[in-house]
Amino acid sequence: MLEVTYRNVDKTGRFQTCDEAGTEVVVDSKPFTTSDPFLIQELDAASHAVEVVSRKEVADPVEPEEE
Amino acid sequence: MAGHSGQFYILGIGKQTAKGTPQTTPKFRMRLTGGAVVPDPQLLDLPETDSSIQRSNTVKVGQMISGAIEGFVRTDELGLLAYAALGANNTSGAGPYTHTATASNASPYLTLYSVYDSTALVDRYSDMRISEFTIRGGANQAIGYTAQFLGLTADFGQTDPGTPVPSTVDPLVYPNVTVTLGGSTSDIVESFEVTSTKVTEAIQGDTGMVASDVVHGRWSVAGTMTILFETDAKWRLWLTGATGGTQTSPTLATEALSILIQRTAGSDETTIAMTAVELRQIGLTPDPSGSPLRMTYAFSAKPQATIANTFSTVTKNNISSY
Repeated sequence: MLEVTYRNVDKTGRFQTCDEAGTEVVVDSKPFTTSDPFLIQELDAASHAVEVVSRKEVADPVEPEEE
Repeated sequence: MAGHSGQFYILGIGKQTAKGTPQTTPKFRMRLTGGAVVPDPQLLDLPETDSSIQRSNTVKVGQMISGAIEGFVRTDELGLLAYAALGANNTSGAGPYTHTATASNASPYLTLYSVYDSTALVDRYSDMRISEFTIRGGANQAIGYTAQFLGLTADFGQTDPGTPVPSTVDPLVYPNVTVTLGGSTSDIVESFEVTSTKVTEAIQGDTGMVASDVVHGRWSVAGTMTILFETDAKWRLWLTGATGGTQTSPTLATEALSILIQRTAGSDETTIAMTAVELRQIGLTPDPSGSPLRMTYAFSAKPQATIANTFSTVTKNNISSY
């Protein structure tokens, strides 16, 4: 799955938006990493406020097998 | 018997960090000029026969919280309302601060405290979202807004949080307005109205009387301006795609539009910015009264590849964060 790390383009900047469930997400000067496709779409569209630190494919989390 | 003066009303508003968690500390307590957000129980007159001339029984089948409020635009409150209406906000600066609100798919949930005369009636409405937000202004008037809310949960018999005190910032007024259309100011815009609309519905779901969620759909921005009629340039731009055009053309005319409302540069101002607006209609009719003719300029924000460029509000104030 895709995992992207963002940070605010401004050292004093604080970008706020919400995930699909309406929970607030804040991207400031500290790195913020997400694999949520909804959030990746939102943050990629906010290039005026946030920039990509890294974008990489990582292994999907392993789900426990059902007994 | 003691009644209650109609002006003894205040509306607390605070942003929730998540759905289902009311914000019990309002960010602002706002004065209103009109409207209200109220519970709206859904009633159904049962459509069944009963061998009687009386109407059938009524049952209650759901409830939403909805309504529009109106108020004067204060730059401290505006930053929060714009964030809630559009869905994203970037704050920068070290004081004064710059808040740039832009559109996103979701938006924060809000909690409202509807307070009549401190203790007479206090409701708390949570999981509220703004579906439509309008800013308007006209010559010799204060700048106003309308915010349409839709939400889920009402709690009655609450206690007024009591703080903060209502904003001490003065409302913006029309003399603070400068309209830049097509890259230039004309000094002849007498009024404007801009509306951001997110198609928004309450999803009743199977969660009992309280709806399951409030969900946004398509977003659009539209508005009008009233401009002194001087030449046929805008008329021909609308119909031909060029200010000097002479033939009907399929070209949809677009112009950049920016509305600056500024009392104090850098600390008490807002800019409504659109990279391009589509010119939808120029309204012009003769006026037998003999007054100078005004034309109406109807527009819509043209979608841009970067959604922040389609429409944004850039508000500068002394609020460090929302």
